[in-house]
Amino acid sequence: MSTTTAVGESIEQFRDRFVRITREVGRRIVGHEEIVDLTVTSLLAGGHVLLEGIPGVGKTSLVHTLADVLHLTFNRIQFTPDLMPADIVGTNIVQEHAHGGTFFEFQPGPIFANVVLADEINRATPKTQSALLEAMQDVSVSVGKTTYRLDQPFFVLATQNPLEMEGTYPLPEAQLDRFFFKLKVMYPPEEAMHAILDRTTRDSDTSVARVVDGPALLEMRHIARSVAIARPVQAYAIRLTLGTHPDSPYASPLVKRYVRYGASPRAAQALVLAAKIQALNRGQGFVSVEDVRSVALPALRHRVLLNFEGEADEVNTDTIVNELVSTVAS
Amino acid sequence: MAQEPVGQASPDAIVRGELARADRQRRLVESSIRLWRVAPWTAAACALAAVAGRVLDWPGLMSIALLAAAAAALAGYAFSAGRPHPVTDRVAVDLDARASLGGELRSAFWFASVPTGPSAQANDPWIRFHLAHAAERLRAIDWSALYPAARASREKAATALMTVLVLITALFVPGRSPLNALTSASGTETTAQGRATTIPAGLLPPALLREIEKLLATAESGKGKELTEAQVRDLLSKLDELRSGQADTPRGAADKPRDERSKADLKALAERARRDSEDQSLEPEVRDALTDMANKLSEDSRATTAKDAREAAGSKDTQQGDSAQSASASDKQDGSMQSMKEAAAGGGVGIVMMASESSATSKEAGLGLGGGDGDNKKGGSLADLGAALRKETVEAKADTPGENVVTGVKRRTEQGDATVAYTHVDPGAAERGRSTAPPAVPDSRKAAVRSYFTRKQ
Repeated sequence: MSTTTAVGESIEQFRDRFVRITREVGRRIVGHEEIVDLTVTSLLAGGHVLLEGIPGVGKTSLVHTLADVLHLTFNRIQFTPDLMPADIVGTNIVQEHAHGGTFFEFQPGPIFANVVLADEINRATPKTQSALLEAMQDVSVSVGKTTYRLDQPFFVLATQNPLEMEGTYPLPEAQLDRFFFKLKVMYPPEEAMHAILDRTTRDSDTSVARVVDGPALLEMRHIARSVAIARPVQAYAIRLTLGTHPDSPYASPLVKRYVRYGASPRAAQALVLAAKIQALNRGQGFVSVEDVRSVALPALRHRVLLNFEGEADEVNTDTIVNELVSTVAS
Repeated sequence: MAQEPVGQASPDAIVRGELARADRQRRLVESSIRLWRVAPWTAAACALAAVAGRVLDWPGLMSIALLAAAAAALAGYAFSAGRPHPVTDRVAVDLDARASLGGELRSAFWFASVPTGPSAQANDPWIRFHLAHAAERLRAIDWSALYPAARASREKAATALMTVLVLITALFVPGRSPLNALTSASGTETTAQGRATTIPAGLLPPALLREIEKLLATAESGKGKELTEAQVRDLLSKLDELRSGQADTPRGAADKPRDERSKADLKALAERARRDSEDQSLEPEVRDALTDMANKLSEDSRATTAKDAREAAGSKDTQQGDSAQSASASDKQDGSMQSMKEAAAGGGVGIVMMASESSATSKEAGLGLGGGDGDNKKGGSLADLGAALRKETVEAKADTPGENVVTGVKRRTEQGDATVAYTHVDPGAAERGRSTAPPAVPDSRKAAVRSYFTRKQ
């Protein structure tokens, strides 16, 4: 078998698995096909997702379903103001030997899972939120003088409610930057509402099959990183990232007026990696500018920090990113 | 899925070759579209120029040469568009979009253009797969279908029509001078010679006339640098001698037709001298002398015209039978009349009766109509006023400013809007002892200063 044929088969296999995952998730989650696609994309890229949406639109169900479909271990952490870092990463507890004497034994927290749902992450204090920081970036946690590696794949899905902002702690910029995508879960359309009601108010079987396991997921991650990207396309991703900075020559008028700080190089990494997965999902062995454009909004919207004028005018970062995508030359 | 490349050519070579072929097809079609969009207008402009050339009596070859130059320019553009050009990323983007390849052509072109070698890129199976897949898709594309040749039948017909119009106008339509239809660039010389031969002998002796014409022809032929002020001044002195001599020469009725021609010729000669005096290539001194010559010739022409008018008015009075007054009037009517504008004084128009040609009746000029009688300066009589008014009416009807009347030199400053400004000056600065005369204008700059303050007429 020639190398090019092997590459072609890899692409086909990747696409087949991707479609099976999304189709299986779609059996339980209705009306959020794009959210499911992008969540799986982030998972395959090794990134984490921040889901933002009003209560009851299926954020938690999505994460549950994804863990079921992927045959991965799943833990949920409900973030509250009194939640402590040890409640997330775990702690050392005193144990007694059978022959007498005591010793400390590490009791892993809920972070030790393949898929972690950090529900209402903005309700915990910054101290507790930062406990997630090391885990999300380094895939490891440190307790005392010991560092514990987390199992791969490790995937954090955090949710936050944009309405009830009283008593919340907005995520710091450093932590926001560690999320691969920020996805906005909108209210489902009317047609989707019918399907949701049909599935949830009847005695119907909504179980899902486990279509992909952990090793297969890691193989898909490896394939995604092999896709070729031409320098002009990569340059476009870089221009998009640089364009979020108000002092950049690629900055759009809205960026110059309303943005305080732009996206970090992590944004460019996210753009390229996600574009590669989008290309594979379309059965292509190369990345196009359209692939980059299709992931620009979820990759950049949470990495653009507004200035005082932007906050005062209640400017939406989605507007800024969309304008940037339309103005930056490809 | 893509297969291994077929044939001898590698996928990257196929990608480059197909892209170059597609780019050439695209440029040919686009240049053809642009060409046929411009060609009718270019031909129409040539046709317009040909018609204008007929009206302005340009040589017919000029229109044909213009048409040929336009055709050559368009052909050069088409040839340039058809030559091989380096394919850029922007070109690849355009071709990619046209063929709806979803960015594959652009990406493959970049990988195919990167110099390969022992780099990891050359051995990357994903890149080889990408190039092979792109080459396979490119070979299946019919670029001539994506870039069909421009039909532009209406534009072609319009261009052909305009071209025929240019040729017909240039070759078969006579201009104002039919003999010039196909003459070449020697037209200026012919024109100059023709103008020279139209000046007949009249008031001027033939020898002097030839000298003046030779001098003007030299100035007009572009060899004006060879002229010297002495040459012109010499002619001027001869002209002055002639004027003083002619004042006493009686002329009979048989001379009148000849004089009529001479007046026009003198005026034409004066106009030529005035035009030449404005030629910046001549020496300032020569230009000044030419201006003087033009003024003298103009004065001669004007004086002759006024004299004829007075003679005509006098004969009419005689026919009315007022013999006593007409005899007295005829003495005064011999004087020349000038209307002068007293610009400096800002006053109105005064009429000055100049001394008559006859020495017997020549008196000191006086103010008022009918003046000029040295013995009785009480103003003109009623008959004098009537004769003068008739004469003035005749002159006013005959004179057209700019054609047969040399108006006075107009200053640029005579109608300027003055703006008053006040500047504080220390008392010491206004002392007379400190004032100095303005620097003298160098001789070499006098002509330039004069031309700056003198409005061209």
